Amino acid sequence: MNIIQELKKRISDPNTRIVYPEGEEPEILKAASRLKREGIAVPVLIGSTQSVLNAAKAVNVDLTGIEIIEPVIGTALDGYVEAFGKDSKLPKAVIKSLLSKRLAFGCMMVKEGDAAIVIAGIAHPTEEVIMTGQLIIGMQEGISTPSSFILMDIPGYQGEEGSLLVFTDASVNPDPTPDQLADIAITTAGSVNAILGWEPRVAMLSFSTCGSASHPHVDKVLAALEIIRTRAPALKIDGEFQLDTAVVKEVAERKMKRKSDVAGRANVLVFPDLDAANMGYKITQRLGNAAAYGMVLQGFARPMSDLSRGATAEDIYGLSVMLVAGNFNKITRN
Amino acid sequence: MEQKIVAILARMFNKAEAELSGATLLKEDLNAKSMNYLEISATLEIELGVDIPLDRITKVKSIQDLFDIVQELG
Repeated sequence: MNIIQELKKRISDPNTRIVYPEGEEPEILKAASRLKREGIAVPVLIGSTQSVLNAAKAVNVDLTGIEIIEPVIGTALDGYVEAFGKDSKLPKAVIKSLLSKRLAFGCMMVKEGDAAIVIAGIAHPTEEVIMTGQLIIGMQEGISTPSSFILMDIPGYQGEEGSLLVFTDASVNPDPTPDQLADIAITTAGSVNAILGWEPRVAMLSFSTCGSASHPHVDKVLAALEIIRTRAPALKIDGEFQLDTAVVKEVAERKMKRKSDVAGRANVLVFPDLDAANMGYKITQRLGNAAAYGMVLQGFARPMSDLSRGATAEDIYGLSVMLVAGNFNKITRN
Repeated sequence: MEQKIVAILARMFNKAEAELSGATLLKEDLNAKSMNYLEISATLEIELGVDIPLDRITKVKSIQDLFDIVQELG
């Protein structure tokens, strides 16, 4: 049974509303229809009603019972313009124009509690999804860096969470500062706990293990570690570790001169930059035949996520299940 | 047109118009965050009728860059 099937069992509320701002996209339509049919969530599609229905007909998808919302005057848009205007210096006409855009409208639905989750990105660049999320939804309290994680299911790997490991951040921050790296690690630990129910054991990765090399890149990871230990003292986190020290017990026992809750048994791997993280997950996926679930965007005040341009209905379905399974009750707004 | 852009940015970033010039840098001098680019783009679209694609506006460094793009696309 794959992880998505397992996460489906954790879903306690089949009435979670997920808004898809790209409601005319065929892969979105297929995923939404399946989610509705299986009673996993209540999908809401944004788009022109006629265009959505035409697109559904073209790919033979049944949208019975699925709500379609057009962000035009006379709908929830009016209230959203008022609500957004309370905290914004922008003129009302500008706010109206901004929120008429489907992505912003979807984010506003989540901000105002009319949906629980927003998923977009198949027709918008990641940068636009993140910017819109930051502007409309805002960031999680104490976090200023949006980031992402990906869940890897690695054949032949046997850790404390079976064949599963979480990698971060493989899609958003090219060269994070120590503060940003701290944000990424703390946010991912929270996401992993909320979505997967794990107690996170976070390894800060490097090409050095506990001082085996000296370099500014190692210093960056150590500086991040210090920040994290101040900000989240209860978090099980350690480093700097090479990958094998983080996930192979025998290597950890040989290399570590001190006790560690994380060495050899990490379930969250924080890569030092986007080069390492992106290559790391693709090597694992392509050469190690791992299944990759995500990217899940994180750090926002409410759950939202990005899709790759080439996302399939299966990808969208899987990501939706992950987010519905997550217990995000503790996530609060700034 | 340049004066209008300066007025928009002054309003958005709580600055006096006299403090701003073509040489003013959005990130460094105005502390613009990535999300502010969305606001700038929406405001220019409504107030000047210029639709600047996101991949262009996010590359803007200075107010002069903004003058140039609006001139080009306006």
